[in-house]
Amino acid sequence: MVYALCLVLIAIGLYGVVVKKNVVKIVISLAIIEYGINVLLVLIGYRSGGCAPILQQGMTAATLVANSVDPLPQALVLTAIMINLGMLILMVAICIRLYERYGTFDITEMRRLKG
Amino acid sequence: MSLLAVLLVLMIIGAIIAIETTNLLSSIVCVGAVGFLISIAFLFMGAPDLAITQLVVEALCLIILIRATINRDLTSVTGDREFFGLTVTVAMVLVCLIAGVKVFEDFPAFGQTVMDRMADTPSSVYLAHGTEQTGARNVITALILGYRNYDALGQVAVIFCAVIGALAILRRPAKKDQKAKDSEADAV
Amino acid sequence: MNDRTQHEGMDLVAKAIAGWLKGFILLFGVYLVLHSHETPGGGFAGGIIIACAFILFTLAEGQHAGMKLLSKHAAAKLASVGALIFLGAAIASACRKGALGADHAGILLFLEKNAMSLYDLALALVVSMLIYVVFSVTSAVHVTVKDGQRKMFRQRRT
Repeated sequence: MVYALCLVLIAIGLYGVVVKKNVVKIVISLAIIEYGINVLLVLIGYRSGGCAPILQQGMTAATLVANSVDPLPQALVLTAIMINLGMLILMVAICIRLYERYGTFDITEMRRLKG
Repeated sequence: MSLLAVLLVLMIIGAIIAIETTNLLSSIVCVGAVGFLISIAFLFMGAPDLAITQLVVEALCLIILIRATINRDLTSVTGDREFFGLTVTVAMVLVCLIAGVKVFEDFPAFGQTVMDRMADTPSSVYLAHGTEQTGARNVITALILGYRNYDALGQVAVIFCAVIGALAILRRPAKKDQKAKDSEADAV
Repeated sequence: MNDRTQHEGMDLVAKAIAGWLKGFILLFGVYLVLHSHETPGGGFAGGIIIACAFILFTLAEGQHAGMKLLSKHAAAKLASVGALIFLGAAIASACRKGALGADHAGILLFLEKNAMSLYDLALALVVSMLIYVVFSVTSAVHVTVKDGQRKMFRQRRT
């Protein structure tokens, strides 16, 4: 059920990307898709009642293996968050340039003004 | 489980408001709210590294998005695209949703990791030997900067390229170009 | 010119609080970077927090003061230095061991013992400086757009 809620989040972002006309709204929808995917990946590695994968005082490696959540999805999602940040910076730069060129955020108007 | 479900429902509400509201500034603030909720969710899922990173990245995203949209027209562009395209896309999004739910029936049940089902997964090896092999108590750091360091190298390259691209796009045009554009505007 | 620099940025309260706070934010970022092997955090989060300290100063005191503290070109050079450190360590350890970092491969013995901290520092340097550069560039564009010429241009066209 929790997985399904993540999928709903992704679907909302997909709907926004396809339907909206404002460029900034499309960027925001892409950000929502990224959030949904990140939460989904971390949820797959979740163990109920698990602790964070950090070796604390008085813990051995065996208890960490038995108790901790899965560290691999977390490391990959950490990479994904930073790459999403770079992508968002690039998209915002393109938005600013488009606004300077066309004077609007509307993508249908941009198509008309071309050439 | 129920706490995570509540957080996810709040996120969905925030996402719907962010997409459907007409004012661009409130839309950006709503997506910020979604990001902070995700940070809280990471904290409850046993991922404090991700929680910290998501928190600061979200604050930065808010700053950059607001910088991009402030002093520009915030409410003039509203409404959707054509009606026929809208119905078709909504139908396709629904199909994707249903297919995704079908796919997730094959996943391990919620609260069980892959480590529980199989004996020697990479995750359990990292957890068991990460501290003694890399000297880092935080297994996430051991993973990112130890076992998977080429990953981090590629990530630095990606961020570098993205920022160089953004600088190239945002570079101010040369003086000559600017003059030509102004004279063109005057002529029109 | 003098008048303009005086009235730049936010009001007095924001300036005072930002002046107090930026040192602590910088300290917290450096702490996260240096202690990433035992506490949550790491190069990315620490780097962004370091960048946030500079961004806070720039927002409160205005563009000119921020550029005087750390100019755009200096920040870009620092980011390049960080990336080169990362790449150099990677190439050095790949030449020596065939694997990167996993068993303390480095150039010197000291570096071998602290390879992960070195990577973390390089990562934090790259991330923080790149984000500061992007922030300063977007704000510069914001100033050039604000004078209203573009809007006039658009109205004439339509």
